[in-house]
Amino acid sequence: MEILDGKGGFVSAHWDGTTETELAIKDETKATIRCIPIDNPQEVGVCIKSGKPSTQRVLFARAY
Amino acid sequence: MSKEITSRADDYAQWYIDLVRKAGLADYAAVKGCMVIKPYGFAIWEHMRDQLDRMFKDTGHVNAYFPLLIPKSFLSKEAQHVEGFAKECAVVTHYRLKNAEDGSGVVVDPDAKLEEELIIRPTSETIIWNTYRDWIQSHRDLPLLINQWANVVRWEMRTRLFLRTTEFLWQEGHTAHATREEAVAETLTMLDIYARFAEEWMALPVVRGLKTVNERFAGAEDTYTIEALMQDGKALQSGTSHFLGQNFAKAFDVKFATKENTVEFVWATSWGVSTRLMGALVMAHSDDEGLIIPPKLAPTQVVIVPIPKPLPELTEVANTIAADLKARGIRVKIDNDDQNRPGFKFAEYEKLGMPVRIGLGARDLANGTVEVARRDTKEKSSRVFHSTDSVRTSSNCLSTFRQTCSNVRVRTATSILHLRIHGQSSWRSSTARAAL
Repeated sequence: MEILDGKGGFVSAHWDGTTETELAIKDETKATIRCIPIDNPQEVGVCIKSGKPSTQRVLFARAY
Repeated sequence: MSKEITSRADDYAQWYIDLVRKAGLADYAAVKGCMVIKPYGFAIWEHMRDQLDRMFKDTGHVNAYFPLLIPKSFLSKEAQHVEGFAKECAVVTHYRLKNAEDGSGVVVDPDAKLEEELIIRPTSETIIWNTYRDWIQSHRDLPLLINQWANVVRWEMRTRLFLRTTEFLWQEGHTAHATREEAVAETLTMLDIYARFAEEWMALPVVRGLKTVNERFAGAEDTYTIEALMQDGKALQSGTSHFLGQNFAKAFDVKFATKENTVEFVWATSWGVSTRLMGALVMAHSDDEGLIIPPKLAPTQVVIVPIPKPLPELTEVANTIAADLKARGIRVKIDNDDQNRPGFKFAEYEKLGMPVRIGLGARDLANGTVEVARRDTKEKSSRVFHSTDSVRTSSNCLSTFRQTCSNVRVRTATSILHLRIHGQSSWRSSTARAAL
């Protein structure tokens, strides 16, 4: 999350797909999920917040 | 001139507000959260609007206009929709004022209370789908591809010129389809139009994607978005396209007879971009000296400045160059002001973001040249000018002009890609292609 405090930009990271985790990340970092990119490649990973399994990365950023 | 504009390094938020106000795009209004769009800002918006309108019409859409006021009861017909918008609705309760008995001014006449309160539209799905019930009976009435250019009101607590204002201008498309597949395809077609407009007209690379359940439009099944990145590294949602499923058809009982003579609910989409795009344009491209406006949207694309002031022989040459540029479809202005010094004028044009400036001095003229300056890179070059062959000069200006256009795009695309997408390399390259 130091990226957000520095240059900013999109952070492509794994998310477990729950609104609960999405809001927890927002509370902690002020970053929201901007979108799940179209034609997003599916890949196995773990959620950056909850550690639960995830199937794809999404784009986080602080936004206007 | 830059002194009156806060630098980005000092305070990015203030830099943006300074630019919007001092370049004459917009200003605060008497009502908090509202804005006045000034002529220069409106001229840019008109270019955006005209191009989007062409793109909508090229894909089979037509324009119509629906009322500003919506019966309150309409909003409660779609449960999620009302939940999403209830907190920011402006409500009309009365229709008359009268003089106060103590002479202190006008007051609301309590006898003029409306039986049913009216909502100033925050978006028009409800009133439009209530109308579509009368317009759609058969599969022959579909698809219905309608757009409206309008103002809407959303009572926002924290506002910022163009980016978030209580009243704003936008377009809202509302389409009706016989099948889910057709409606989904429409949703994606419009997303693509928005992305192409952002990239090709605003020189603004965007990411196309799907919103999460938490972030999607109230009443939609899926919300697609284009997301842009501003110079401070914050994202800006720049346009959305919604697949509404049959939610509004069910809420307003809009059914059609299929070819097979069964009766089914209609499938819907809605999509919009707003004056928020003006904020995106300013934030994405400009610098500490002022605006940088991509040439396609610039109200004036080339400004010709006689130096030190418009002497007769300089004016004649300026007119010749301007005529040639105009003949090539370029928007040109000649600065005939003889009050201000060239240095002041140059700074003003930098602040306004005019893409190309042609300086025309007596010494240049003796040498047979003019000075062509680009706003985005601040590069200056001397170009040959023959009074008998002004076409050549025009061509030179034109090529500079086209370079400016592509340069802005390359620059923004590069900066967005260099540092701004952290974590996934494969995705990076696909965006590069899209932007360039």
